[in-house]
Amino acid sequence: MSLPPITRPKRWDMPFSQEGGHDADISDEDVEELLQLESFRNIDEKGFKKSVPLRDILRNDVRIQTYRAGDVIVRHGDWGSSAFLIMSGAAAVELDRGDGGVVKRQTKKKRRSLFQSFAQLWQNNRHREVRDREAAGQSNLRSEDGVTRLYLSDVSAVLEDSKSATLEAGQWFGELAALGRTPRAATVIATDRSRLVEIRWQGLRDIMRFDRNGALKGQIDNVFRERALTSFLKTEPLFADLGSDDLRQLVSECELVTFGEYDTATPFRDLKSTDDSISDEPIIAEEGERASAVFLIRSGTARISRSHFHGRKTVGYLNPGRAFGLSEVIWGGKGDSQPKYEYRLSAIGYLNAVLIPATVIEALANRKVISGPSGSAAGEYSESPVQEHLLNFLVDQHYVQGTATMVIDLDRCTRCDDCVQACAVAHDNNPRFIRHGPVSGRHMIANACMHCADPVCMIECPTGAIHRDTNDGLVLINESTCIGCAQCANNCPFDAIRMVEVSTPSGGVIVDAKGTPIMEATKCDLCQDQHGGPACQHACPHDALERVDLQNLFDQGVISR
Amino acid sequence: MTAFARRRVTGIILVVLATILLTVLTAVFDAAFVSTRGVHGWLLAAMIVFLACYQIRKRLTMLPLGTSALWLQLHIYIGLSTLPVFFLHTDGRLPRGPIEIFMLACYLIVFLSGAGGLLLSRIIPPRLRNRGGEALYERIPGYVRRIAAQTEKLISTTAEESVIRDLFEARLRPYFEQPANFWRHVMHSQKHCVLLLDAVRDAGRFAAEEEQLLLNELTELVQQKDDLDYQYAMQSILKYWLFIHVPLTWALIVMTIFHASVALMYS
Ligand code: HEM
Repeated sequence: MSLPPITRPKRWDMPFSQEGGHDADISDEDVEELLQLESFRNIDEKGFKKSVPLRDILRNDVRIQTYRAGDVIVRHGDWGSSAFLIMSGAAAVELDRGDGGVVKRQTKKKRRSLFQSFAQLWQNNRHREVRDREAAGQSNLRSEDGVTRLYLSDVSAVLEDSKSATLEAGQWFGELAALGRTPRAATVIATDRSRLVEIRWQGLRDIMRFDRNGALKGQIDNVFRERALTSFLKTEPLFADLGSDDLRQLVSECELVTFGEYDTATPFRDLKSTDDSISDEPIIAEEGERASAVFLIRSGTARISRSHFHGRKTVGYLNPGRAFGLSEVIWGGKGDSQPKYEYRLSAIGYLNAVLIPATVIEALANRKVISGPSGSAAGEYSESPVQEHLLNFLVDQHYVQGTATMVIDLDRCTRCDDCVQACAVAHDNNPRFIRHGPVSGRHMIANACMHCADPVCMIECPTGAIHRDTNDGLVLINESTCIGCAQCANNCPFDAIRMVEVSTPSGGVIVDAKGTPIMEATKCDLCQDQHGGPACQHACPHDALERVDLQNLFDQGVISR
Repeated sequence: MTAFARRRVTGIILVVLATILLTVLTAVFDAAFVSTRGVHGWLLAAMIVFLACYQIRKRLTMLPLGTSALWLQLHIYIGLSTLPVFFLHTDGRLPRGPIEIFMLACYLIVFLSGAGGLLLSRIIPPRLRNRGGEALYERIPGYVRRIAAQTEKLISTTAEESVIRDLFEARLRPYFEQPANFWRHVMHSQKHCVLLLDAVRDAGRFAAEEEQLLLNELTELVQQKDDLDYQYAMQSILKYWLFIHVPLTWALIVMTIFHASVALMYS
């Protein structure tokens, strides 16, 4: 059967200015206007690749939006993939983050109705990977980019009640969440009629990468130090009650440290393939050496280990927001004039941390402005309920990245494949995982997307089709903007993304003008639109399969067996 | 005690308590000359229908009907509870008519296959893990073919007239060609493998020196294939016991409807 060819999707098929219901094209005049802005004025256009010129980035990865006073621009906790630059007007950053902030989160679930769920029984396609290209070609609504905006009716009164800082023309915000693949750190509300440049993270990344002057990169780094560092430090319970002077002092003495490459998944992938990754990992703090600093992990994962005869024993790992070295610096310092690290801290893949010199902490502790943890480091890290060989396996193979890792207890799994069947029913008859994968003891890590804390799959996606859901942070693929380039599949260190040929409802393969099949990336979406959570776990009769948040090793059924 | 063991003990205690309660109530009503047979009958029918509904639940994965694991727990303990109810219903007497006998047979087979299947579901998985690598059932024939091709390639390097070729034609080719020794694996016997490896070792005595390496490789492949056969046999059992349990369930349901209609008609 011959099918009419369709055009092969490419990056920028859907300019940012057209995405999610927006439709204000970026004209040539707009590009010129953007190039006059302080942030873009000094960029050296020559360094850009021919295929990705600066002007095209601005035309396709940028949109200019007008907000009215009271409009919520970003919400604390949302997963964002764009950064903002204020062209004119002003905005307020809400600093007080108790109980979710002034803008309460509406949990918007895109769940099917009960009938729609039931109808999957007979409405699912008989053919594999069927896509409705007609519908897909049209508007591509992404909830985080929806034009429907939240609005605060009395913005000044609301902001008076909570601490806030003002952002003015020429200032950036949201770059942290966009580039660091972390949730938005604060809510930002327009306080005036404002014009904003919103840029996709891919565009911002390319500008920072190709601009030989490095002006924008320097600006973004400074913004981080000034703004995000303060709010980040305040998330550490130890510093939560610090006065503003002490906090300012603390910020000025902190150092930002990174390990591993920032915007490529490759080193991470390589690390995973080495047998003895523990010895290859960059060391952040060495066991037995003078505890000269405390480290706060900002993004990535760090391994805590100690020497054991001729090797190293993994004791645990640290996720973003956790600190290393506190007990040594504060507690160890009392009897011993030279406190030493009791463990080694090493970086697993890309890691970003804040280094606080021990002298600063000691000074604060001496003045009794802060009080440290009440025990030794040994007590702090050695309580993982997970057996050591499994812990090593999870850390060595980087599975600790997973927030919804599919763990199968092979001692209880009867290989009935009810999980695979349930997955297929939930995904138009296309199972989104393979019940197979690396094994450690009785545990198998099945080949399913783990919804990583730091999803490296997102790094090279040229269209932003692979994104984090605004509400729950799940890593999802937008079928209508996926161009089948396989970057995500290649970047995923766990081979959890599969490229598939897509077909029409009658089963014919969809091809481009040259007759080459159109491919699309597919993976587990944790049954976001289904009732009762992940169908695989729901369907397992023997309590063998669980989706485990390995960012939190405690209270986890299947892995503590 | 593991969480599973605790759950098991709780389930069994509940079944025992329910049985005692039902028996005492029955005795009380009997003493008062109130017939309880009808009540037991309806209770049993309801339990069997509930148990059969598990199959429907398994198909309706898309509806929020509670997890399959929860259903299975209810299934197991309500399934076990059918036995005392069945005894109370029949008063421990054997049925007389052919239909009732058939019904009893269906019930017993469903019950025993359920209990046996559950036992196998708990015993086999840890054993699978200890023999060879994890292999997806559908892929096993493919792996077997790959090993067979490997052996053919190895043999093609030997002389036309050699002890290895003789051994291969007589013993190894049939072994490597397809999944083998199903029942031996089911019975957990290793005899076939021991005999085959003995034959390979015996051939070693007549093999040329350069052929010894080949024999070692063949030994390794015999073992790999045996592990795959084991996986295949055990995973087949895990799948196919339900082919007894489920069809007879529906036969039992049909019989129950018939039996209940007759009982209603003549009561
Ligand atoms: C006496 C009446 C019983 C009836 C009518 C019955 C019926 C069923 C049905 C319809 C299924 C669904 C099979 C499928 O679709 O996959 C099933 C599964 C099962 N039953 Fe029963 N059953 C009974 C008793 C028992 C008992 C007494 C036990 C155990 C003590 C038991 C254990 C199981 C197990 C383990 C499964 C399979 C779960 C799985 O691995 O998928 N059943 N039964």
